[in-house]
Amino acid sequence: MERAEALARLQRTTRFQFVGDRVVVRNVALLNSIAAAQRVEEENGVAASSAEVGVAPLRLAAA
Amino acid sequence: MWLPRVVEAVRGSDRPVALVGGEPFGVPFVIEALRQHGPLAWFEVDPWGDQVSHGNALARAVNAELPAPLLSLALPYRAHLAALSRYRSDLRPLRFAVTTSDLDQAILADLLDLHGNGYSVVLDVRGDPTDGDGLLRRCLVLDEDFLRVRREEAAAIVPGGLGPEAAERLWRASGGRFTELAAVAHQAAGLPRLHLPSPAGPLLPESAAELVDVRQAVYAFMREGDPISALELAVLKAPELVEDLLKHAGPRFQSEGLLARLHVLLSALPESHSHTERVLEWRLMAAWAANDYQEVLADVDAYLAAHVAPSLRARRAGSLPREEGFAMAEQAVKARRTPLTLWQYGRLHPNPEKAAELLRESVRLAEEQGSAYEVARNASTLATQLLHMGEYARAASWARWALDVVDREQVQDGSRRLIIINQLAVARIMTGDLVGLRAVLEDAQALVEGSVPGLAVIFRSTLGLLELAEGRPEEALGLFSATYHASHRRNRARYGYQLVRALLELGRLDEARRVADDVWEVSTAGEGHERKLAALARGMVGAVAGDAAAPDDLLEAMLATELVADQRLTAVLYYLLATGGAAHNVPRDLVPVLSGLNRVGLSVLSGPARDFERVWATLSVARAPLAFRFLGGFDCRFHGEDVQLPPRLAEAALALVLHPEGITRDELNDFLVSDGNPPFTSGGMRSLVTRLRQLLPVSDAPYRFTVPVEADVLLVRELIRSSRVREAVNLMRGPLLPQSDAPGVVDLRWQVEEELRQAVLLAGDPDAVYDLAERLGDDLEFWQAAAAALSTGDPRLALARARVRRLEQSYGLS
Repeated sequence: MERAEALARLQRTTRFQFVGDRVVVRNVALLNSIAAAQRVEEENGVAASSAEVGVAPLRLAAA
Repeated sequence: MWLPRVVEAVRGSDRPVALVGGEPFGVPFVIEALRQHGPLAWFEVDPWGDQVSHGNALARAVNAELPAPLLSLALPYRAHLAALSRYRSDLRPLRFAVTTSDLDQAILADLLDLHGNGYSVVLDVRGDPTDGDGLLRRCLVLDEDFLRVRREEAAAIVPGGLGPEAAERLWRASGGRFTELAAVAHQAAGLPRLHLPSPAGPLLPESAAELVDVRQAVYAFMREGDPISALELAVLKAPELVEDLLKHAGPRFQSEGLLARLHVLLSALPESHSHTERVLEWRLMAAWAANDYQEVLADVDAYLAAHVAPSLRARRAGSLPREEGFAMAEQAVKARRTPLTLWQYGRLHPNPEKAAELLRESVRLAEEQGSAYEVARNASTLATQLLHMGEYARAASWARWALDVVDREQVQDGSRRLIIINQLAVARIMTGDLVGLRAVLEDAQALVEGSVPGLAVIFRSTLGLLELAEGRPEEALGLFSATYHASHRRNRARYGYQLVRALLELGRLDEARRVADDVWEVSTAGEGHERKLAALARGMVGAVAGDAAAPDDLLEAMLATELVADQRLTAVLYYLLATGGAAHNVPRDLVPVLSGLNRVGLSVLSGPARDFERVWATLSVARAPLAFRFLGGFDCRFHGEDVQLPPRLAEAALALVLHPEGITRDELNDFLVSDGNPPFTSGGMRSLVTRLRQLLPVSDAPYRFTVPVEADVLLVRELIRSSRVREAVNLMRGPLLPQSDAPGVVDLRWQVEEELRQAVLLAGDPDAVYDLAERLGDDLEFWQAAAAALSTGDPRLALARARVRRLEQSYGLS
């Protein structure tokens, strides 16, 4: 399968939505998991800055 | 009240219900509320979904509502619908809820067909989909107008502390959309954020969705046990993670039957990330499954020219012609012995004994360092190898063990499970262990017929063998004929010889000859093994018809080591018939197999009995000259010939069988005539015995047979006494002389059934208990025993528990 065809098919059928380089997440369990992981990282002093990897409220206007 | 109003409308409909309003109009809350009124299997139809991904979603949703998992993954949804239809009486009531934004998905119409008689269907229709097939016309449609919150209903949604004015204001602002109203009301009242129910768990409202760093989300999916979503997300936005993710995601895609989707995902990778070793391995497997592999083969071969890459090399070996593949598999295993490389090497090894040894080693290695999937795969391939060699008892052991691994470790690959079930069934038929097989095979066939054509052919064939084993050649003919007539030209010989076998059993020699001639003609241009199978079909007909050329045809087939053991054994048996027993020509490797076959195996591989008794007699333990079947009906054979006895003489024969030392006239009278009826006169009794003596050798009074006798009822009781319950259940084909009401027969019938019942309950053999539970119908004690005996992961456990629940309810015990 040609890459362009596969990519088009994937983009047409994926359930993921993106705003810039970030993915839109509504699943509560997933968000909790991310928050828990961040807490652990912060406690261990290895957290990347929230600007890089954190969670931000969705501002659709920014899309 | 809004929620009760909508829920009652759904529950009150005798048609399927379509809720058209989605999240804004609170449909997820309605569906979730339906759970309070009975089991609810709720799933979402994937936008990219194929039949298998839809099947997985349906299976997960249904299994979550059952006391034990019933439906496997990796099967098309139609297989599950067939199972749900088949087990409806035990599974109902059950409501299906499907969230979809595409009404053209075929699963929706098929699911609506299931509606009624204990099942009900609710569609959660999102967006504004076109309804090309008129799906909504089959449903009660509850649209936005109906779903809108009415003014008087708003107060019950808005927390009381806010007051009626606030409720009115919020209701107006929301336009009656439940979710918006509830969300702002929560916020205004300072309550925790509103979560929406969904098949995947609670969701934030769309307006509260969060933006997440992609890598964080990928890792979170992995932590939450969803590598499939993780990989898709990584392919789209973080391709550098794919190589690593595939370690866990690849096997998951494989075991869930989603390699076609993986093919799309990996084909979409940028070149910089699509040529690493593990990515190439999974690209190859996915492309192979999707039958679109030319491009990836070039990439793989280029990589292998410069790298050892044992795993990739072993995978590539599997895609090559056998000889070439074997050489490459050998390179792979020499580079590194892993469960994969050793498995492929054993699978492709040309020496059967060596292949079996390697595969056994690959199982051991998989246990030490592989996954449960690899253990089951390797053991299943070993079982196949043993079947090909005719080592049926050993094949049964390995297949049974592989099945235990699949069930115990919850390996999700439903197709592989069915393949193992089939291997086990063939091995058990050939060894004469038929307990519970019919239900297993019929269930499997119902599952795959019309949904997985490749497996349907396999199960039809195996069920045909079972019909032959149980003496039902008409049924075998129907199954073999269906497969033969639907088969591709190149498979005609393979299925034709089975059809010939059934036709010969029924004495339809002319039809058998026509099929054999057709098969011969259309296979002439085929590969070697097709020709040899065609020779087998022609030779079988020739052997029964007495054709002079038959031995040559059969010799060609039995010497063909590329044919599997049962095909070669059939050739040998018909060869022995055609040549009057030229046993010196039997290939040496088949001699121990042939001498190890019992009566059931022999009668599956060759027949009809009237032609083969002499051949079989030279291969198995001599039978008594007088043989009776009293269970489930009546047959009598004296020196190999059928003897017809009227019912009264059959009852008398049973009395004599039970008294090898002899039975007096009075005892025989008591056996045949119930209290209150006039006894036989002296002349009447003499006449009865005289009539029996005209057909069979009977002594003077006390009456007994004067030749050795064998009878199924005697054997069943002997088996019970020696705790061989599987064999006893196997032999117990039905009630003792079912039409008889002679007192001796009635007493013994009850006695034998009770002895068997107690023996099976005591032994706790899962197959035997389940088999007898099915035959007995609604015997609660037996279903409880079945539920206790079956292992976790065995789909029969879900059915047994469901039946126990239903029976306890109907007996007022719960």
